[in-house]
Amino acid sequence: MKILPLILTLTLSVQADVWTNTFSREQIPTPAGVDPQIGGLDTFPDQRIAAAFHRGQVMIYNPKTKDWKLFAEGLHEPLGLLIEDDNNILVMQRPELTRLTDTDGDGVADEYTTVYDGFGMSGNYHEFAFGPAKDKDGNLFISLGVASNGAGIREEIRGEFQPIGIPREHMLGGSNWGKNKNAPDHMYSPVPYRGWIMKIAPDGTATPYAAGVRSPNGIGFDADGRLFVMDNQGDWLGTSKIHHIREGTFHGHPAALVWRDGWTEDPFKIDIKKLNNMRTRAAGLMPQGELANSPTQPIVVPSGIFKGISGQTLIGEMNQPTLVRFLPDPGVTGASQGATIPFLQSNAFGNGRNRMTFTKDGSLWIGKTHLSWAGAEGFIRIRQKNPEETLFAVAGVKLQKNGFIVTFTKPVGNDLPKGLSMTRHTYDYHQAYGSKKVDEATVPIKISRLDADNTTFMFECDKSQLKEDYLYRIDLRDLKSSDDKPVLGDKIYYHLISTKS
Amino acid sequence: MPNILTSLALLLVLSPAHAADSGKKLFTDNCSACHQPLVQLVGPPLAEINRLYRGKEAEFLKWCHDPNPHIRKNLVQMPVMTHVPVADLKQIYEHIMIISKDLKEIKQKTGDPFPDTLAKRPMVQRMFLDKTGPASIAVALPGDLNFCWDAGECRLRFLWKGDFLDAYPYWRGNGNNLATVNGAVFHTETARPLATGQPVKFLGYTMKDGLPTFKFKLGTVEVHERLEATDDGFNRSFTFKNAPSKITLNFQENDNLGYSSTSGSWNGTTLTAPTNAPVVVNIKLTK
Repeated sequence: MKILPLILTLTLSVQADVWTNTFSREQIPTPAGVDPQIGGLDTFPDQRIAAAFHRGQVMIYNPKTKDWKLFAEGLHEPLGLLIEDDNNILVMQRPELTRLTDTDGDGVADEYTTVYDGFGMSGNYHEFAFGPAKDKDGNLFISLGVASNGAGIREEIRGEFQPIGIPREHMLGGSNWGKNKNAPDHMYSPVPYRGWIMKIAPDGTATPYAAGVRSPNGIGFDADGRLFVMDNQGDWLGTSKIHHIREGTFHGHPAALVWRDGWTEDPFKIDIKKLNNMRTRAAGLMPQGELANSPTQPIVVPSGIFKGISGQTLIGEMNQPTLVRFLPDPGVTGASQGATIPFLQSNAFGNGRNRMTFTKDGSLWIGKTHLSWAGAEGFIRIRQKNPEETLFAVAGVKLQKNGFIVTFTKPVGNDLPKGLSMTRHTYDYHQAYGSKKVDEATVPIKISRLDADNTTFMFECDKSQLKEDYLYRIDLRDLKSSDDKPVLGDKIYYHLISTKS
Repeated sequence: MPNILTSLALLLVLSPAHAADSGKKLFTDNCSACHQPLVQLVGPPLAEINRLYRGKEAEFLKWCHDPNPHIRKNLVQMPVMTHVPVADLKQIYEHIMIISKDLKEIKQKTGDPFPDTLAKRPMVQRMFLDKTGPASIAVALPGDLNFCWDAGECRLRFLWKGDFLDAYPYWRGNGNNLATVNGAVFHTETARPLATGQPVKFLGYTMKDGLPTFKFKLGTVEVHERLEATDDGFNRSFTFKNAPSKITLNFQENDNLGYSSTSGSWNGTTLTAPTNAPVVVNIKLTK
């Protein structure tokens, strides 16, 4: 075991920080012989945890006995898992949404029932499938990745084929893809519903629900029943996004449009201004490198856990050592928009945070993956060291006509640090991969207290500084609570889409 | 994967303090998801980039703007980096050249770190394979027979004798590579024995004694198909629901295979059998 000293080196070289002072990490041994990349996690009512692994196993972990037990195997790249009851687990794998059922109560699934496989597969590696998320009426939602222009399609596909914009021979390539001079220079959707969010009703009827996502590795509802889907920086995505999905919305990546009813136009030739008018802006933005490069699953913090931020949404992240907390702004009527804030942003908890689940004892369980990208692997448990303590963090961010009202979970110390500041920038919306920060500038601010208990502050700026389609970054570096605790998450990234309140 | 942990640890150790911070940040933001100093991730390691581009900044910039044709087979093509300003790409180049100076690539171990994933028999594994649809299911029977069943077209595709699959090429990456069968294919079926022209719908499978019974609908008829090993070949059984009283199954002629059944009547390799009981076709390997 040569690798152990290196892991220790890695762990020891990580310094204590505000996060490790507040939270502890426990590495959970994964089952021997199983590739420890985790694509799905959920908790049973009795607090056992089901995990789906890269090579197709679904295993159940009992935190009391620390035992793993095989429930199912042989699945194809499972990237989502939802427990229905003690004997039924839904798993989203590459080819289908599957219900795994233990019919005889021996703890092992004996029925693998296809719930939905009505989407296409071209064989392109990037056609991952994610979900499901369940709404209060029992509808299931899944999200489907588009094909990557880094590779082609296979000779045999499943489902209807759609060559609008790209002839089939340009998509074929195999291992000679790099020599294919006609290869598309953007992601594409050769088979149905790639780049779509699908809704599957309890009777099995599937509806194409919303379009225009690229690599939607994360789908879930927030505490108020809003459906959020994460998307990864790339073509037509200047930076990674939190999409608020509603029926019929289009989220900006044009590949999916070929599967709109009656669609005939080459979506890659649509004027960018027209596309821009068609799209629903992302509710939240995560600046590449600073906050997140490859966002993953959203999860709601259950009540009573992580006091101060219970009920809020956390989002995983694969390539940066962080989670992201999303705070929608309830005061804006013109758009669904809000602020992203780092959470558990510490090397001590590592990269690769792909899937999450909570247990009632206050533990946040994180399953990691990389799929050969720069993630990580394994299974960790995060606990707040003093669960009775309210976390000192931003509680809400509300846009005003001349700035932002920022509220905190606990009183802020009397002496504000000098470094509090605000900048803003926007991103290009274009076919090219990613975007540099555009029109970045410092926004002069004046900070004032709005209440006697020091929890509400106005970050005031000139009205003319507040522009639609800009991301506002408020730096709370060195901010401390009245009991001298550093703020957990010292950056706010507010995506301003609309100023209408 | 140990190599990734190794490279992360080394990255921390090796990051030189004198590297320009902005070059390092630009590299982290734009490149680090796919490129590590010593080992291949989605893209080649910096050691290799250093070897190719040391002293050749212009060629490096040209590659960033037109990464085609790519060099390492089985790796996906890098996205075009035109969104990164040339001045930033130059800083990235400087950073790469500094931190990867004198590094030698650590080739990933070729062996599978989890070699026993598919070691047991029977075994079922859904997988990308050649000469079948993308929604295929590979099954290892007890003994040395294996088959591939296509859940997209709902039919048996081929059988092979020998070991099961080498799926590590698929599993070590992001799914861009196919798995391969570890043996000789002795039968490839070009059509479903029940060619009805009706729409087909896959319903899933039931596991019994470690083997799947596939369920699908052909129009309104529900069909269950199961393969089991015998001493001299395999049994292929069909069960019908909502079917006419008799059904015709057209099997494919193959000198390697001899067909017989416990019910129905044969005309060459075509079987007509009653549907009120399972139709069990015994297939003997004659070679």
